[in-house]
Amino acid sequence: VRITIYLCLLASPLLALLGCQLRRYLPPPSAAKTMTTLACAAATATVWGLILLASAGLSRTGEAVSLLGVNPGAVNTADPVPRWFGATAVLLLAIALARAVRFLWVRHAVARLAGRVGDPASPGQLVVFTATAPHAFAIPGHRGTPGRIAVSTAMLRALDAEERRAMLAHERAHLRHRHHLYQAAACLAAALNPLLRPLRTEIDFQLERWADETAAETTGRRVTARSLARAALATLHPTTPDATLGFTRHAVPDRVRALQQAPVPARPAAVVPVALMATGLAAMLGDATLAFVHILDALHP
Amino acid sequence: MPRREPGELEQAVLAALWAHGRPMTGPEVHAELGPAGQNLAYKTVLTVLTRLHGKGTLQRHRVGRAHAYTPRADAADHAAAQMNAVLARGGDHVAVLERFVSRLAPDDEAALRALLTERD
Repeated sequence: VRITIYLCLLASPLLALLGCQLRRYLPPPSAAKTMTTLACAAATATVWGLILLASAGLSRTGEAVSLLGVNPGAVNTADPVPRWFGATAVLLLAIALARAVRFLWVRHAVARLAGRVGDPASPGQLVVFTATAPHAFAIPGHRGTPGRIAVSTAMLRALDAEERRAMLAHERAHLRHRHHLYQAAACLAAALNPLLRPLRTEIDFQLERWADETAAETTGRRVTARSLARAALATLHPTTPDATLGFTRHAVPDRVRALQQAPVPARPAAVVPVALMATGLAAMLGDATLAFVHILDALHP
Repeated sequence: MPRREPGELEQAVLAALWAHGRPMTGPEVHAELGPAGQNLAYKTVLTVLTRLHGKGTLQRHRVGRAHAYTPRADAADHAAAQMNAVLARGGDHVAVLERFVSRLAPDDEAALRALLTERD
């Protein structure tokens, strides 16, 4: 297979890492959308590249030769992929698929359990649950049940009336803009290609920023920032050593800082280099696929 | 005042009652809703309280001529069991639910405390 396939495999994580830089040039909603698209494109390129490499490499093994009646000479001229490359690609593909299946399985189980929380017949319901740690979750609708918000008693007690309003507006924004779909796409891409993990973290951050900005539209940026700071500080309370509370280094201070500054003005021109690279990636993938078709022709003249 | 989203008022009322952790009358809840309640009629709050009581979310008892409302603690305990099951299954390795805040690094604490004091 031509060099393009190796370029594809190399370019996809590179493109994804470049995508992380978009945070400086795009406001959170467009940043989240662009980055999620990039993550999906990069994951697709990885999987398709591995499939091509695996088939090209393995079509030269003795088994394939005897099973399909392949003419080894024809394959060798059409395709110079060393056979251990093919074997490695098969292994990587299997790992990627296993990771993706595992993620989808856990996600499904969690959605099923979360769907039972509260009253499935109440849209926009606030489910309060007893906990010493300040939790707030948006529970997306699942199989016809409407989205709900689950907040711990500790969270409600930590905030004043205005701050509670900001926190609830933040969670409603997650539900209204269907952030769980972006998140699922990003997680799936990172499961297929672990090199995309930094991009996944960045997408998570942009989704939180998006919800923060939406909350700020109703309660103001200062109140939203205060609400975040107060909730984050409540996690430090000595009675709340809670292993289920996620840890993202500096995420909350970064969000607070972003709320204290002026909103990022949209500079759509920033997307141009990314779009160009993505187009290049698509072209390379197309080229590699064409090369693969040539191999198939060689196999079945 | 922007148009309210579905459930927004119910969320605010229930959140206020839980935050205070003591029985509250209609006027108290109305006052507590603060700036959010500026354009909020007292009657609307009362309607929400009555509706939440009707659903079984709130309990109430008479205080003089008014009702005092409290959220039902057993519902929160029941929800806690369900949420713990969700969190245990989801763990931290797969972020399936978006969360408002994550745990804080020790060096971030001072910066956030400074933010909270500078407003006063």
